[in-house]
Amino acid sequence: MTALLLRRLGAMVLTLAISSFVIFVAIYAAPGDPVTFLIGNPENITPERIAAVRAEYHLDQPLFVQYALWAQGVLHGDLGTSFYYQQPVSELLSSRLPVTLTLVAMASVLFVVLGVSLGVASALSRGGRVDSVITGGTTFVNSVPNFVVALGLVSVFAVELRWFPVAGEGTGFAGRLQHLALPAVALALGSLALISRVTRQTMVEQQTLDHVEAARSYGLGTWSIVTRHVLRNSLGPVVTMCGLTLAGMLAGTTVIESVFGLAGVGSLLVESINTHDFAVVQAILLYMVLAYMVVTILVDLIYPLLDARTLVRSDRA
Amino acid sequence: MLLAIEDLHLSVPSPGGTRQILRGVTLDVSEGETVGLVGESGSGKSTTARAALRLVPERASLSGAVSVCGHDLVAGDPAVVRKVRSELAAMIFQEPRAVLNPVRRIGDSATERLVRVHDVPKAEARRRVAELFDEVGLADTGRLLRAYPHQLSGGMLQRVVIAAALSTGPRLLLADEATSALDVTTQAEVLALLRRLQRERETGVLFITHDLQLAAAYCDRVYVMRDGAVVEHQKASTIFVNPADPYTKALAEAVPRLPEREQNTMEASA
Repeated sequence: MTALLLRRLGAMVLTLAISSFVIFVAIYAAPGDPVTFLIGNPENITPERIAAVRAEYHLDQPLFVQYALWAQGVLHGDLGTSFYYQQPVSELLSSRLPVTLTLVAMASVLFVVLGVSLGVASALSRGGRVDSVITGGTTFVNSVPNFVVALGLVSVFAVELRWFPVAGEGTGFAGRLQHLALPAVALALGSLALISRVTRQTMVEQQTLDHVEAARSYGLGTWSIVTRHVLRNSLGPVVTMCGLTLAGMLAGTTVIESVFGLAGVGSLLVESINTHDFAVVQAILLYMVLAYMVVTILVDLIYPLLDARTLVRSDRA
Repeated sequence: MLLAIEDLHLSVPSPGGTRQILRGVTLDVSEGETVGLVGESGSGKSTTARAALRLVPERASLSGAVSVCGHDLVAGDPAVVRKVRSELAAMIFQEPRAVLNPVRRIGDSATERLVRVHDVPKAEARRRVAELFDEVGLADTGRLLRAYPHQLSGGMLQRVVIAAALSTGPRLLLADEATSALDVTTQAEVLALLRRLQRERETGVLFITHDLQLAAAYCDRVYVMRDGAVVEHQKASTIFVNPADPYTKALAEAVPRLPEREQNTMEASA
């Protein structure tokens, strides 16, 4: 188990190093000279000013030196300074992260609880009416883009019924929950469909296995068969899928945040790209990679607890 | 009579109408008796045994009579089905690795029927199963109860499955190719074990196998099935001597024999 953890952490460091370099190079290669944006007013652009700015931001150094300087800063907790806000990037991020994390947490509760429940209901009534309704409904929801869902939710529940606010992230715990309810639903719907289908599929496969038939042969009750055999044995794939979806969500709130006018990390990313605020863009992309990796590592660590066979397999690998 | 099956017909709906799986099977098993049920795959021998526990496909239609210790299973009264499955009869399936839940520990799986079906306290159930493990020749039971199926050999798992099946004290054992997945040595051990336990408990055994020789050697009586019907029923001691049905005769003659070691074949191959 410890060896597994160490190996995963090693792989994570390597991935981080590579992805941070890719992020850095991508922004380096992005069109437009950062110097022009840094100076701003075209009247101020003089050769001396350009040289001064280049020196200040190390833009006169070769690419690898620039990357090394940046990486060194990141490792020491210094993510740089936002050109646009004239504020340390870490401060900016920590003021935006709570909104995004709360949003993802609420959406995750929704898609895990509802997705798994719908999947179980669907699998248990396979071929029946409930199954058709759930499968049809989730297929439909899955095929509608989430910004369309978001606009629909806003027009019905915020504009018409006035149950929820149209935009903003609210203050205080209750205010936050109320403001984030619609965005969380919009964010969760697509994943909910995915999770319910994975749950259904895995359970249907499990239902036909011999140990389920054997349990039936000695008179185990239907409820125990479902919870102790079918659902229990489906947890591996379901948890993995939930983890991957959650990981993707941590890096995929941009559209929903923009639609609902939430000051989260996703909308900050869009703003920073538009204002050529490279330090912020780099930091956010790095956060997204890191968040994705942390969640997938957690899933990897949980999996052997759900199915002891995987530990044997990964030890051999 | 522990198990009495009379004129059992079973069919399932299929795309081209209905498919007849059993066509009038009649057989019986008494206390302390070992009855062989032989046939190739698809002959309906497994379906027959499963019908004794009413483990039939949901949409199957069933006619005839199946009774275990006098309890009728064809009507499908849930209380009767539950009683037969939990108390009277137990099935030992073919693949021990497949019938034990791979994500649960052996102890959890082996005590499941005692704990979850018979409401025996966990510690008591573990004690009883550990005793049975001892009886079926499994050593180091404490470690075994904590192991996962993938950590044990097929022979050990089959013993675990047999011990679990015996834990509720069934009067009828349905052994569906119970030793086919095992190597020959382990098979002999498991069979000897089954025989001993069966003598001690006066259990009736329906022993299902595709191996006519094994059935003839191990059972008291043998039924031969083909295409969902019983084509032969004889004492095990006479089935090889004078098979009545042409199919049994063919089966008996199909036993491969090693060629005699002869001088001229050696020369021919040289």
